[in-house]
Amino acid sequence: MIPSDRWTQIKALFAEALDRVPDARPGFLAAACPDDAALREEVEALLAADAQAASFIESPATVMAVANTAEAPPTMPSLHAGDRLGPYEIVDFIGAGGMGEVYQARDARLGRHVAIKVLVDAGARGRETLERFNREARAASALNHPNIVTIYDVGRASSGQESVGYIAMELVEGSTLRCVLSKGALPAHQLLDIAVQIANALATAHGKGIVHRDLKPENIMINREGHAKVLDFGLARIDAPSWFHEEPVATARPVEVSPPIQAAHTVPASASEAIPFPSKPCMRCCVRDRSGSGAVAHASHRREFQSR
Amino acid sequence: MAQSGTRAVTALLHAWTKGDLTARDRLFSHVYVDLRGRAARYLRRERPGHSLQPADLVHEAYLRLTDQQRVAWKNRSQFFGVASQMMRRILVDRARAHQATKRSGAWLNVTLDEGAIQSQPRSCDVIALDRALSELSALDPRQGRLVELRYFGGLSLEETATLLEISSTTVKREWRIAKAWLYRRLAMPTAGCRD
Repeated sequence: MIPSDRWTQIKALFAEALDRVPDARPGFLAAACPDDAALREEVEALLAADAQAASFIESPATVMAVANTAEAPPTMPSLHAGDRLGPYEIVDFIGAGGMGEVYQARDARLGRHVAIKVLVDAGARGRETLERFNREARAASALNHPNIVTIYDVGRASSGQESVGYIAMELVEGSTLRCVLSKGALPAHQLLDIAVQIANALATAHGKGIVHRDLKPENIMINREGHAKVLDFGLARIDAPSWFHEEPVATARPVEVSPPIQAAHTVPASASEAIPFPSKPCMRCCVRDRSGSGAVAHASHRREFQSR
Repeated sequence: MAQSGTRAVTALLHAWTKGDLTARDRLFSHVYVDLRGRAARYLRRERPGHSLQPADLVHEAYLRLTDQQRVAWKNRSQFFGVASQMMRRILVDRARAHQATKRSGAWLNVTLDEGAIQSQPRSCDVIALDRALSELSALDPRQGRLVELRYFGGLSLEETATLLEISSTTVKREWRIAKAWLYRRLAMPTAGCRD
């Protein structure tokens, strides 16, 4: 490191040299430090850097927003480990979805770990997102089933300067069905087991007049014991009867929606008709065929499905 | 909430002026959390390709977090100093996280030397700049603050002069040598520290 008096000297010579035309600078420096070649070289090097630096750091640092695509790096979480949200202490960022961010958090009162979905400021889509958030809380908390994620708490708490909404729920340690499938097709017996669990969860929901409407492998968690947990009731319809006369929501992906829902004009007569729903994600488990057409599915798998 | 937050920040600034270092630390964390959250929300909402200007966030934070009628001149300077420093930390943290994930995609696009020629530190990253700036601060603390305010805080030359209570001429002179020093440091990593 340069001693500070040396630095003061360098600065003074640099400024004085800059007051001169470039051609006069070497002569000036030679005269200013006749027996200190190192000092002269230092100043000369800085002058050379100055000549090249032009726009270097002249524009302030900027951060670019990128498209929210699969290639894009993860979004920047609003909360970080150690931040507090009401009675919860953030432990880790799990992921971000269309309507919020999900964190692992610790409930300080009970000492248990939870998953907490935080409703972030969604800009223009704010109202729609808020409705979806509330719907999720209402729908999922009305259900008590081992294959449906349990909602613990819904509330608002301050985060920095703002008040944000959150839903605290059971923390399912495992992977999404999508992630499980990306590693390869599942054996038929495991697959059937998952299918039955999902079907049971949906049947319970339908029994209470709640239709999920957005079932897809991303919304099904498989925990370490192999139990399936249905998540994200954000698009659920509560009071099913009115739903049977509506168009399907655009956010549900056609490849995941069961035929009765796809054919929106021929509305199903009862909620039970929406039960074939899990067959699509499950069919994919066998064949890994994104269209879910079943064309390449093994015939025995299909027969087993139908019989179950 | 916003009201009490404003009062809290203003009180922290006052306490810090009186020498309360705990207040300073609390202010740091308050401003950091606020700016980081804002930056995250901004980026989530914004269309791809739009860039976030730290200056906007820093100015907005000042208006939002402080009670301007009760903030003394010295406090104003302190606040911008803190906010620029926190902006720097946010950008560097992000760059580190980005580097750690080793994912492609230009999430963080730090504008360095747009008009550069030759094989100069055009694409040098914010982490290297941060490191070089820390070295510069050790050598010359005022230059370190100046670069922080201008580059990370996005403040203009005049604003920087006012905040540092020096003339614009001095800012220009100091800025020029700081820039040359950093440029040289980044272009030739061993330069300037042979002693």
